[in-house]
Amino acid sequence: MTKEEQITAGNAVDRYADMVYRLALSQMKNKTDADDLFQEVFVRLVSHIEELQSWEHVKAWLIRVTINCAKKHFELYWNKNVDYIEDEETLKGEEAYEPPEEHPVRGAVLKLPSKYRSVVHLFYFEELSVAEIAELTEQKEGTVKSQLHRAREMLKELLREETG
Amino acid sequence: MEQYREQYREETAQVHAPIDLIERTKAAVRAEEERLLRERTAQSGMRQPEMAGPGVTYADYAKYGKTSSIRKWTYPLTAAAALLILVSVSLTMRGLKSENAPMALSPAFDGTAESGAAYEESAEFDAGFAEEAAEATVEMEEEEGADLERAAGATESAAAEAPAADMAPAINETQKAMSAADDTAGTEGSNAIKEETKQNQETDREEDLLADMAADKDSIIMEKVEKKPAFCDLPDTKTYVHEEETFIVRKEKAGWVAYVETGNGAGYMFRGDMEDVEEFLEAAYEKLLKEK
Repeated sequence: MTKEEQITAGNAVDRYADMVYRLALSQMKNKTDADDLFQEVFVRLVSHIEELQSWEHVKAWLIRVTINCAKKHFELYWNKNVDYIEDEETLKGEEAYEPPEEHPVRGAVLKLPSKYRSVVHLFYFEELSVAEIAELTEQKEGTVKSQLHRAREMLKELLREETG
Repeated sequence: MEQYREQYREETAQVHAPIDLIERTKAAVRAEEERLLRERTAQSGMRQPEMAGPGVTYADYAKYGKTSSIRKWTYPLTAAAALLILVSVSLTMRGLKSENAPMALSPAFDGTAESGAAYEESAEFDAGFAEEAAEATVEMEEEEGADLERAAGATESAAAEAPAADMAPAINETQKAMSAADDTAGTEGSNAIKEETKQNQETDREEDLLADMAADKDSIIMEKVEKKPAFCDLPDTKTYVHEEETFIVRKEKAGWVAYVETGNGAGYMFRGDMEDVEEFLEAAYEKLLKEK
């Protein structure tokens, strides 16, 4: 019988690096920012690790904080009275992350608004339920369903353009 | 999208965190652990002998910290519990004393007994006082019952007219009225109304879910307008550019309202009850596209 791995931030990096990285990349659309976000999330985990009782808690915490930190990143660039800018990555003058050509579906997902990207990723890749996604993103279940519905419609259009 | 689900999973599964990023992050995590360890050691003011020595990581300290932080809360909680017990005992004693008050008021019991007539008078006064107090309590309960009925009636009429989203304030009002009544009356009627309100809330949640599920076209209203609406000149409006269209947006109690002028000079007003402005603008833009 193997001993349960001790719940530490260092072990969490080994366990959930790919999960956090994929989510960070889907949120930031820019590799440098995604790397920064990745590091920030795990460093923050250090001061909260005591509160987390199991690896499931750690996973949920990481997802929630990744999404929240990504949101805060964009809020810093927004002045409430200034125009709303769709392409966030152009603010820093950084080159946007482009997925490889052989990943057309990922490419289409990356073109969605950030809020839709996270629910699509959590639903289709992490296979979380609507209720779990609603709790992690602090939204109503109905809102998540509505976002998934809209995201699907937009993806159909985008992928139709790609293939058509 | 279902057909692309498998493809999305396969494509995403090929994405891995770079090794150098992982190593840098682990180093940053270790640095943060050491920093916190130093901070906590400095705060505790003395070295913990069992924690000293090589090979002790922050994780070990964290485990110690966990139990020590639990211990930290034990004493205040115990003190609060003791205080609560004392207060309730004192209140109970006071209650017992006031029940005995008529007897205590009677001169016969305080050792300064006078004539029997004086005793009788005081007993009558006390009996009269008790009777009045009982009547006052009954009147109070009747009034509160009437208030509760009025509040429930108000909730029902509000429910008949207002959309689901507007029921929350009415329900809150009812809840407020109920909690005030409970403090003094504590009748079964208030419990029944609480149940009803809870059921109303459940119904509202279901209605909200169904409303959200119903497609974006039902959640946003678009109206062609001849001139710019008055809200555009209010100070709390914000301007957003979405997909090259400029929206003047305002947050209202019921949700969002926006105005846009298209390239050909046509003006449109939108109303929606989405949670945030991004979602509202998305839906508004889709509606506008269909109109065009």
